[in-house]
Amino acid sequence: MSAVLTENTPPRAPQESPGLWTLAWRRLLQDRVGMVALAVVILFIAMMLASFTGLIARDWSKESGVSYANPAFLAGQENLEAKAVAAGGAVSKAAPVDLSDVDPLAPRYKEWEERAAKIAVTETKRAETLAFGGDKWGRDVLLKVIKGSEVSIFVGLVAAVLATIIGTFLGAMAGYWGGKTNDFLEWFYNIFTSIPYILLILAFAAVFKKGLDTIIVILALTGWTGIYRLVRAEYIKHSAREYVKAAQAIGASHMSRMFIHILPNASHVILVQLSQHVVSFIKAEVILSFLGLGVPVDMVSWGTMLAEAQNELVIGKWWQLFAAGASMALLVTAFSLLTDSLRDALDPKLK
Amino acid sequence: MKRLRLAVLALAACLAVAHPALAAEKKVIRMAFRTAETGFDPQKIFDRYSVGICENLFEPLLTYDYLARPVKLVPLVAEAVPQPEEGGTRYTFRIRPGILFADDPAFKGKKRELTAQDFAYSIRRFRDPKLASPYEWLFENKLVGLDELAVKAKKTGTLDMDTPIPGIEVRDRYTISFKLVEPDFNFAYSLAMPNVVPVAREVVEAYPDDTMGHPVGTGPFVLKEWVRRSKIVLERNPNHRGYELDTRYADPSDPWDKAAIEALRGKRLPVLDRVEIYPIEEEQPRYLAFLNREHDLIDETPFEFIEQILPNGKLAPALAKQGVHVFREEAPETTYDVFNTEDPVVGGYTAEKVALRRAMVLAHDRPQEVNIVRKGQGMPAETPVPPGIVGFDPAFHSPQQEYDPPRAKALLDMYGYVDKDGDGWRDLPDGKPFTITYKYNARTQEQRQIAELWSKSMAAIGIRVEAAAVQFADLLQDKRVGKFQMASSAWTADYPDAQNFLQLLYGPNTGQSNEARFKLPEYDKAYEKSQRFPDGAERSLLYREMNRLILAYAPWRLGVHRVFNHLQYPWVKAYKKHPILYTNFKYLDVDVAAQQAAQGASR
Amino acid sequence: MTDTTPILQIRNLDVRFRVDRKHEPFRAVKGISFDVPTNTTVALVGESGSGKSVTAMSILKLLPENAIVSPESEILYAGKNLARATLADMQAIRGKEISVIFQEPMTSLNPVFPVGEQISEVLRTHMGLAPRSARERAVALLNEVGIPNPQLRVHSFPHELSGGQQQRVMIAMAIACEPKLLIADEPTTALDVTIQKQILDLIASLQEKHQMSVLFITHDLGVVGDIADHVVVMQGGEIKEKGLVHQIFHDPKDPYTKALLACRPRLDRRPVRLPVIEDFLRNETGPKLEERHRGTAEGDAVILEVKNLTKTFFLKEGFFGKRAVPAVKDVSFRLRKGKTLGLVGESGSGKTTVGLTLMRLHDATSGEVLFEGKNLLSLTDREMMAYRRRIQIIFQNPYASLNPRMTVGQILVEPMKIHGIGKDQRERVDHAFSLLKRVGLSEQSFYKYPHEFSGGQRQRIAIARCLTMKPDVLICDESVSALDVSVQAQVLNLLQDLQDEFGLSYIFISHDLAVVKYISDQVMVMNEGAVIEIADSDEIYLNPQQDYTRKLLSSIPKGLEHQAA
Repeated sequence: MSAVLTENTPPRAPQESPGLWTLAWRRLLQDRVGMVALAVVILFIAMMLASFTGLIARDWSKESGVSYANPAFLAGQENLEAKAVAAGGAVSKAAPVDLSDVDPLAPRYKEWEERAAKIAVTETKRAETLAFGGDKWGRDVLLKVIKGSEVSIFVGLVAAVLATIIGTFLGAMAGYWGGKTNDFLEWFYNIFTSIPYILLILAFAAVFKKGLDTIIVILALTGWTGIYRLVRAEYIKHSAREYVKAAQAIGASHMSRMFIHILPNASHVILVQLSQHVVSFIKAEVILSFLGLGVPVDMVSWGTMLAEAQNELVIGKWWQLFAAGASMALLVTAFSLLTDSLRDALDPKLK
Repeated sequence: MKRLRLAVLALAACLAVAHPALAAEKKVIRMAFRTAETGFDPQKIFDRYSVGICENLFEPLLTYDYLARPVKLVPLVAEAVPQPEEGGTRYTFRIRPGILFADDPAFKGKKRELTAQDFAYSIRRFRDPKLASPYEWLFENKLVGLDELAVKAKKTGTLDMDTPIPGIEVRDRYTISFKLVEPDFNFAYSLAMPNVVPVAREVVEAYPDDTMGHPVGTGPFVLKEWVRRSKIVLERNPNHRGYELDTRYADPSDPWDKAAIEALRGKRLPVLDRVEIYPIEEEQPRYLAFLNREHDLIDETPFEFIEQILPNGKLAPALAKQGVHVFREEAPETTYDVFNTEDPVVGGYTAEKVALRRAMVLAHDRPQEVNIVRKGQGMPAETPVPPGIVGFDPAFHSPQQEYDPPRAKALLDMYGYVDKDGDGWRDLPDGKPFTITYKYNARTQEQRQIAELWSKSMAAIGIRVEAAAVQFADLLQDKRVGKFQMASSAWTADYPDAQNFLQLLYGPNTGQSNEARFKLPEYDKAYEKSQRFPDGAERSLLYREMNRLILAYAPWRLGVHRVFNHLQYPWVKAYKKHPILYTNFKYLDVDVAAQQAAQGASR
Repeated sequence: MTDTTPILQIRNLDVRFRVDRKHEPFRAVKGISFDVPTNTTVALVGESGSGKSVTAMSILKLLPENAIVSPESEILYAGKNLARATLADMQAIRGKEISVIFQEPMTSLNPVFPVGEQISEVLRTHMGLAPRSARERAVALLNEVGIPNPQLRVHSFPHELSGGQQQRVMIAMAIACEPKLLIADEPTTALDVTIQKQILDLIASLQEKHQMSVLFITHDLGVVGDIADHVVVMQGGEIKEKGLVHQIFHDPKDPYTKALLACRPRLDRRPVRLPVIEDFLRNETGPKLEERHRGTAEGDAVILEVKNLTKTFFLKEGFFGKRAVPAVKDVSFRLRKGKTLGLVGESGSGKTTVGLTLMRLHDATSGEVLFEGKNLLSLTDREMMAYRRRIQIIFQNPYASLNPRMTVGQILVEPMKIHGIGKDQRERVDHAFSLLKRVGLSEQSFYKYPHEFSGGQRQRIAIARCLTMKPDVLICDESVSALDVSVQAQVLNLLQDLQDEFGLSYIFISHDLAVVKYISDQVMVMNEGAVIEIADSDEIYLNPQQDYTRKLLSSIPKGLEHQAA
């Protein structure tokens, strides 16, 4: 055999042959709906990244307009709320009470006044109208939507990735090992799914501190079950396949068989699940925020915007609801369509 | 044949049972509470919504006249409002004979008459350590001999309910006399509070673990159905004696009074057969339930919708056309945010510690609170005491709690709260970074906005405030045991005297109503002294002193005295909002025909 | 044979498939014409991709959506052109006049209805029989196709029947309405050799009895001799040759037909290497090859000795119950160095389990596997690693045994990495290239994915993968069974070359007795997990000692030999 070994040096990849992923990508390229959806999703993610890095919507919290400033295209409409704010509340005209005899701060009153005088106050003029209207504090709704996308998409993506990792790992374990491992994980799964979803979320929400990380953890911890089942089924199917037996025959370890051999073959299922969960988690974040379990008050997400907007709609300030709702609907629709296209493109008919 | 006849009979019987309502139209009122109840053991509860239900199930010795403004104490189960004896240290009551408790299995089928002993028992309950009553302060350092019993109870775990004490003297079946440790000219007010009411000892002992769910009193209604946090149904108590509306103190020129007198002339109260209350914490559904006529009235209309209801201060035409009435009330209440004065960051009494709280007060954007969150429906509070309460000081004003970020920043700079680690947030004088957690009621948008306002106002001066939403019941509990740094609060008058508000910062009330756990000797001394004086110049001076101390040490950030708008459909009769009592079901009437016509039309 | 008007005439049948927008439609059948005479059996023979199944399916208009049948195509049946028939016309014909049996009986039967019910349904819809008479007819049909206890079996569900019985049920359904034409699409490919024989006999007898015509589609020329009157040989969408079966076997005209006949191993000959199609295409007559001698001698070195190997599976029953299913019972044999041991038996005989168990891909229940004196079954996983590479396996299905997500390069390099063969990546890649060349694949293949290869090429890749580890023993588990005859010959030649070159020892597992006879020195016959007989291959074929062996041998399609003899 050594004779053959020393023979000519092989040609180095004159052209890479298209792999399944390349083929899937080519099929996706042919799918017009899928490409439009992909473009929308990429646009949203770009927007989110730009907002995250501070390129856009950096001063979303700046109160640049009057309360419930009208959108620019509705400049003429009467804004009762802003008028009421401008009128302001009554301020007491009574002479100030002297505290100096009881005030622990009294000894440094003079220094205090001097220092305060040095700190300049800049009064900004609030605009009557904003591009797409303002919220109650007078913040630009458009900037809020952009900033809100950061939280919503981030939560959706990260939670979906986490849930997918958990689901995939447990599913791989159960499907690959079978037996006791499978029994235990199935038992665990059954218990997990027998609890109503919302109750589970509320239970987790009660245990963890409130915050963005908590939402992600909650969604990931409650959302892995569907992925688990599918991945488990894939693993059961694949671990009986001959190529896995062949890998065992060449001495590949369990880990290598689970994650190097089988995982890529289940990856189309996982990928589709991943994008499906991104959609459902974006929606779940909205629901959580709507229930007041979501993001903290100093952050904005589409969920908090919708929660705020439910009252605003009654008083005729529809733009916040519309902006957040439309963005979400657009992204979710695009993501769902993309998922469908991915499913079609990845379907391994070639096998 | 026989079988058929039987079937016909059975059917007829079924029909008769199924439609008792056909015989007589029931008078029913439906409404929402803005917050869920916690339970109905009058000595155990704290929130005004639960207390509001107890107003209808139980009866105190005294109460307030329905129509009289300013409020007036009148006898309820007592025969008369007593005059203070022995220099304001003794109050004696004679109870009307023949008043019956509502029926309960604990009474073993017998009618149970209210006696003086029931009052003695119920008042002692406030000091029972097992109950941990949030209103224990009402009877602390108050009745001769009771404190000693309480001290003993702390050791044994249960309060001695039987040994007579001089402070609570049951003279005969219908006479009870209270002896006070010190003079207190407000004592009669506490006996009009809807939780200082008699409960039957048999009932309490029959349901030791569920007194919250077993209210049995002498009130005009009984608790018919209770689905926790979602539905409370009251029905007329068949054992209730009934009475006519007292019109002596009414103002004949007041249209509400006139309407009420007209509607209730010659009727025995209560008129309603049934009241259904639905706790709905979200503002929009609560408001929509009223708009859709599912509810007959809405108390404390959410501020969010004020420009819809009262655009430019006038009732909206759409509502006016339906004959909706608006009752505008400057509520005897104060909203505020509490600092936990025992907290290592926001607590403390040294200049450095006080400076932080004072700076936070100054930097809080109160104009936005009033104008945007409260939609202008409130006046900024200068002291804890709201207008309309005896002891309110209209001349009290201080720039120390006016929105002034430069002064706040200057103060923080002076006392060393500057950004040392360069992360953009101020650090403690010792260089440690800090974050303050603000707890608020999770369920309402209004509360969330207040939290949001805190967060952004403080961010503007470089202090990080994290808002933590908690359930209302948990919030109450956390505040009571001091498990918080900063939290939202509000207080509504139990009785129309400033004392009721100023006791909220009285040191010994820590663990009960003194949520700030504020213990300032000067303040406590002034408070104790003030109790010994009836209303007058001396007492006003002491109140002013206390208000100045509150301002200087800032255990609270004062919010507003809210203005409420209560709406009713025209078929709700005899409505008038009472400033102290939360509900008025026993005085209401309803035009059933109009109600059904309107509700039918909307369905 | 009385030739009157043919029952089916196919003229200029041309079928194309649309692939996608960019590419020209793929032409699967290229304007073919042939007849199916009345009351005869016509065999349509061809390898995969020859267009034989497309032809059959276009008769009944069962082609997929993307198929285009050109307008010139004519399929004349009883004066009607089925290529133009409406759906309603077709529905009247399908099942009643022309019926089909497919390759996989299990997937063709509805698992949730009893088989009797499924047969009666056909009778009720097409013949308008009343339920009761339909039921009676179903029983009679089951009886006719040779199902024992038909009265009881009508109530059986498909999974309660064996594969052969399922195929019998399918046949019963197909002949229920007394069709004039039966299309049998590879009806025996999925069945064991003994069963295959029975089914072929059944079809032949039914054809005679019912006076119908049969269009028998198969890739196996061997089968044809037993059953067909006419043969049509297809390749690449074209008809290469058609004629009476006798003429095709004795005097093939087309080199492709010749090659097909020659490259199938025969029981009566054992050339040094099998002729392949290319040989015939180059040289009309085909190569003349010497006979190879096979057999073992006592003195041959033993490389692997299996002693009393037993494997029992445990099936769960109910909650706690377990049922023991013995798969391999007390099997002992010796594999001699540089020789091939053939393992034959029907499905379920345990032959594959023996292979997997001795490699420890299954855990043995008891027994010993001695390799160089070491009992492999008692080694720890770590100790086993060193031996793992020395015994390798090539599976049956080349489509399933290669990971579709790995390039051929990755597939070949991986085992070398695991076993530390080669100094570095470069050396391993070089080795992989040389092996690709050795198994007859281009260097380009290194960068390709398995799906780009044909079945035979994939099996070459699988072989190359084994070779990377320089094994001593190679287990071929039905390794050529799924391949077309011509490809099978190539792979068998390759295996033989490798044995000659590297002195490999083979355990060759197959149900195909002709193949086993061709390649093996020694043959072991297994049935129900036990060894029936073990002997040198010529010996066992000429002089079987056991009844079971004899029965097995008698069921080999003799078409070729008969005709040739």
